[in-house]
Amino acid sequence: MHLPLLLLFGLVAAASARGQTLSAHYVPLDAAPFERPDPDAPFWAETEPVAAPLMGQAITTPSKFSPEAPLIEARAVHNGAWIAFRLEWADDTKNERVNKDEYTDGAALALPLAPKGATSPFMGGPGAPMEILHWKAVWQRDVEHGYADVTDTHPNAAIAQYHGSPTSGDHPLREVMASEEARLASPAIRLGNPVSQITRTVPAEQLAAVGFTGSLTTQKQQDIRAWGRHADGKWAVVLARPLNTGDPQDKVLEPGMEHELNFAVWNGAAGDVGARKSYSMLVPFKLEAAP
Amino acid sequence: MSTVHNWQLDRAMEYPYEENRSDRQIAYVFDTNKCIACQTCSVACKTTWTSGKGQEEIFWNNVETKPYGGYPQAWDIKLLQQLDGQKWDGSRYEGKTVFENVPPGERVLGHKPEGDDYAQVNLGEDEVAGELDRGAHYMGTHHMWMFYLARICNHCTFPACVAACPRKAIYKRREDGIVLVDQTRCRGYQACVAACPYKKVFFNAVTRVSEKCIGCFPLIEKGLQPRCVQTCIGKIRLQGFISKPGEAREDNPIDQLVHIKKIALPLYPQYGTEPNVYYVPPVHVPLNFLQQMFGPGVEAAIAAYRNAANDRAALAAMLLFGNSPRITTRYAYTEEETIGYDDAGEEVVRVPLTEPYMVRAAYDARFKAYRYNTP
Ligand code: SF4
Ligand code: SF4
Repeated sequence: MHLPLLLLFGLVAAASARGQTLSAHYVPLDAAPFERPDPDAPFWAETEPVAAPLMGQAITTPSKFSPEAPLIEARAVHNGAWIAFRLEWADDTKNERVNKDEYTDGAALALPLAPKGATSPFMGGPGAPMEILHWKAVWQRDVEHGYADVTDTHPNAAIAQYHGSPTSGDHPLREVMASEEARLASPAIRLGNPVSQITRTVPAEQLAAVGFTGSLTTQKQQDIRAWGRHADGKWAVVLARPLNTGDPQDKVLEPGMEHELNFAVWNGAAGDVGARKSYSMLVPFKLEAAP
Repeated sequence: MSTVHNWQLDRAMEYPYEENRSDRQIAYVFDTNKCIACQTCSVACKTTWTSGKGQEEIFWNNVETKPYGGYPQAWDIKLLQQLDGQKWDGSRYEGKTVFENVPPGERVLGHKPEGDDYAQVNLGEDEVAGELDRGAHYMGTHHMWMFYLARICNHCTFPACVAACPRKAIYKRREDGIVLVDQTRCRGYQACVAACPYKKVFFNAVTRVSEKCIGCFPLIEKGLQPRCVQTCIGKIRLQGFISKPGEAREDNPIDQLVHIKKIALPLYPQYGTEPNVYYVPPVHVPLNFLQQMFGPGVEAAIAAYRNAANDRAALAAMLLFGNSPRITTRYAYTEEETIGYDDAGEEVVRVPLTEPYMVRAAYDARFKAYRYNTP
């Protein structure tokens, strides 16, 4: 019922982003800043940002009728082998836990696999897959402090004994999960669900999608690096990967090429999760030629 | 949206997927009059399935004291407040279901409990509906009431959890109608938690995905009843399979109690999910309360229950409760006993309609002593 309105809004948003092209500047750097991204690395200040308007997501349910932040500011650099994107948007609160009533902040960018102009911005469509790079604050906290345990969400929990624990009382998650008995009581961990990985070194994942139909799937091959930083009511997140990963689910990027991409952010404090997100229309994007 | 037929509402209703009933539908009858709130069922379930990290507040089975208890807190009242009307015209529901009253941007009308709503699993335990007048308990029958409501996932015919999941990570098994969350597909969006009217999908903060009652499917596959049913001290539970509407069989104890005698009723049928745990309503609770909870058939159900001593088909079905770990899919009875059979036609259980008893004279001549009843 809100579709016409939203589509109209979508067109307006698209129009205002159209004038600007996100240019991935060539930087003569080695792989290190891409493999260990830092949103505060000095070279970012030299790049030209693009501000893409964000809108609510009302194409599918569950929906979000107005965006959490008006704009997302995007920058990009490449070194001929790697590319990195830096996304910055306003978010007053840092939400880096998930619980019954807590959701994580997050950010994503989507690259159509087809050539420019052939893919819907709504996470692609049948026969028009998208590659999605997705960073999550909760995963970054896992990387920084270890996978969140019961005592992280419930500091005062008093536990007699967990299933599979060798002895009574609470034990750290990793110790408990060493036992097959305990893993049986945590099926998502035992079965390797991508959101339940208790050892994680990268706070982001690469996914594949063919539209808003529940098609989102974690890719088998992961080539992504990412890091975020929250300060002064803003998140700044860098997502990086090799230009050509050799993975057929990833877009092959080449210096000099023109393409397009779009962005999405999730504000945990607003209950954003899944399709409840703020996102942009497709933004034109080009990679500077390497010298 | 598709149009499906919900027999509990006696009308067609909207549902996001087409009507596609499973080959068999797991179903239970719980007799609320017999539950003693011992929580053996809760413990049996918990120790079997949910004693891992992150499952501290997950109770696939819980037993709450009505009218005030509820886990999570106020799970039913919060939805009833949002449901428009809830009017019945005879057996036909005239109000709107959770699929027909959907707020913009949602898939199902629901609510997300707050974290604290899970903090106390048995708040309101044993509390009665109101205060007793001073001395009322000396004056014969008083009118204060409470009862125990044992709850599990209803393995609904039209599950709200399935309707709400944007990832299609929840599915209903064709072979028995058990509703499961795919633990590899779920990404923890919690749409199902908000949508399930019975709040029987739980979020696990350690695995970061949703988990729900699995109907003890490994037992069902072996012809055995679930843990909560097998262990029930009060013998209030029977698990079997309910036939599709219009196909009820006299010799299926679940059909006999639900479809034929209508002694057992669905919990909050107005939600529209066609839940498959059927309750014998408590006989001592005010009718208006029970009608909101179990629909318009309450008065007749209580009358039929009170008459069960004279209704051998009903009595024989009810005496199968709690007497065998195996699933009875067919039963027969004589003047003396009721006999349950499994799918293969093998005898599962045989129960006397009247327990053997002995009458002893009040005066024992041998010991020259009077006998007293000491109940
Ligand atoms: S009771 Fe809730 S969790 Fe169980 S099938 Fe119905 S809607 Fe799903
Ligand atoms: S085991 Fe039976 S009697 Fe005891 S609380 Fe559970 S349902 Fe009630």
